[in-house]
Amino acid sequence: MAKKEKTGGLIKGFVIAGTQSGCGKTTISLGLMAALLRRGFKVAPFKVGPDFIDPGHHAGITGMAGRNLDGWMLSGRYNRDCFKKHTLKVDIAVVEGVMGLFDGYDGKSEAGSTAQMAKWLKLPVILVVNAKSMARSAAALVSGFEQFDKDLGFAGVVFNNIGSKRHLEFITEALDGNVKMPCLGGIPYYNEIILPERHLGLVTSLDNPLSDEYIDKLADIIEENMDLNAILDSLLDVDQPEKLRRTPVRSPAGPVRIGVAMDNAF
Amino acid sequence: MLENHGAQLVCFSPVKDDNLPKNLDGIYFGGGYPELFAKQLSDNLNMRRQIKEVSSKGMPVYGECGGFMYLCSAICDPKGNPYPMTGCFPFTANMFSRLKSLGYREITLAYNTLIGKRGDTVRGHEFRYSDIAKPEDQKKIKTVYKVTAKAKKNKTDEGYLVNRTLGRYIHLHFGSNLDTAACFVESCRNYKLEK
Repeated sequence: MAKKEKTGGLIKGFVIAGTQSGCGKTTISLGLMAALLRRGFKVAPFKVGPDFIDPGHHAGITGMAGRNLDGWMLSGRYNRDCFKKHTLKVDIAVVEGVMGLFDGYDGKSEAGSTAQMAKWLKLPVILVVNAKSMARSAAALVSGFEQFDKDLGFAGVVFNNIGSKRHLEFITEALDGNVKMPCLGGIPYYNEIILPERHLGLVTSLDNPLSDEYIDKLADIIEENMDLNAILDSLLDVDQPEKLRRTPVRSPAGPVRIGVAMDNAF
Repeated sequence: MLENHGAQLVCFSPVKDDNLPKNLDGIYFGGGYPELFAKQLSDNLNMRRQIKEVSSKGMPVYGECGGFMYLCSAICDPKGNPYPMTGCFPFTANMFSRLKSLGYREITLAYNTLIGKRGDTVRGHEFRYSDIAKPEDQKKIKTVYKVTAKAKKNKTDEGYLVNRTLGRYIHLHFGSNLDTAACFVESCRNYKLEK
């Protein structure tokens, strides 16, 4: 699908979720953003959960700050307002999830999970599965994720760390007839695109900006290995009819001046 | 959010600026990496003095995580070298090479304070490699909220208050309680009227 004319008030969007942390969610999200941007779409990035490093990388690619959404700290209404506010002038929203799809505040509820956010925003999920050391069993994993929450919609599944063409064939054969969601592709293992480890929390986009070559490479990988046309064609427009609340307060005492520390240190 | 309640935000740099912006009614310090700029922050004596001065005068000042560390008397690097900071709080913030705290937090205010009323709850998150030294005088500093961490039933007293300067490591999301931003702006407005 070529770039679609924006019809005003309607956007498309999806959520990238993993089966667990470290399955390649960030890399695939960044690649999708880069590929969509290269096709001429205006992309609004979002991140579920209290993370400021991924949103920094989102901004490095899309030119728009990756906005944080959070199902535990913030209400459904607040998240929907935030999503709406930052998608008014874009074509597509890419929401990167946090940890595994159903992981959140605790084991008892869906609070804070990517699944909860996808339902709140009425967006379908693209499930990322690390297929390393796995073949037919991958279908069982996808089946379990598909059935765990009946209210959740999936756009499809993408397999990461695919070893060979035959490896992906094994998996798609196993999916056939066993799961409803389509297979959107399989990404081979590339060691040159691994993002620097971030456990110290200091490898931010400011300290380690992504190079243009790297971003281009990510977009190439997505275009070569994922069916982006099928994804775009399957996405429904997200209608956002509600009006944003905006009630600025005026006081006879005049504006209040609040200093905000803002530099490299803060 | 602060702007929605009638605030005019004035950005400034504690690293580079010689003076605080003029005619402020309040100051907000978010998180950051003050430990990486400890020498520059420490060398900016004029800025340090001015912040301590407005804090002593009762201006509402809110600082969290890195901002809170800047409001302490010093930041100590992992080797133990101290860098003097503003001294609004009489604590030393020590840096460690290992993670000290991470996770979601919920606070319950124990008093009416600059970010809300007694009993209000605000949610947030904590992620830090720093902790304050526990000197004897810590007990003399008023704490204004109790914190509940996940999986821990016990509540700890946190949220240090000196004059109207409030700080702690937790990053509070003002979106989790829409009264928080309104209350902070209101506190600044009250200060403006009384000063």
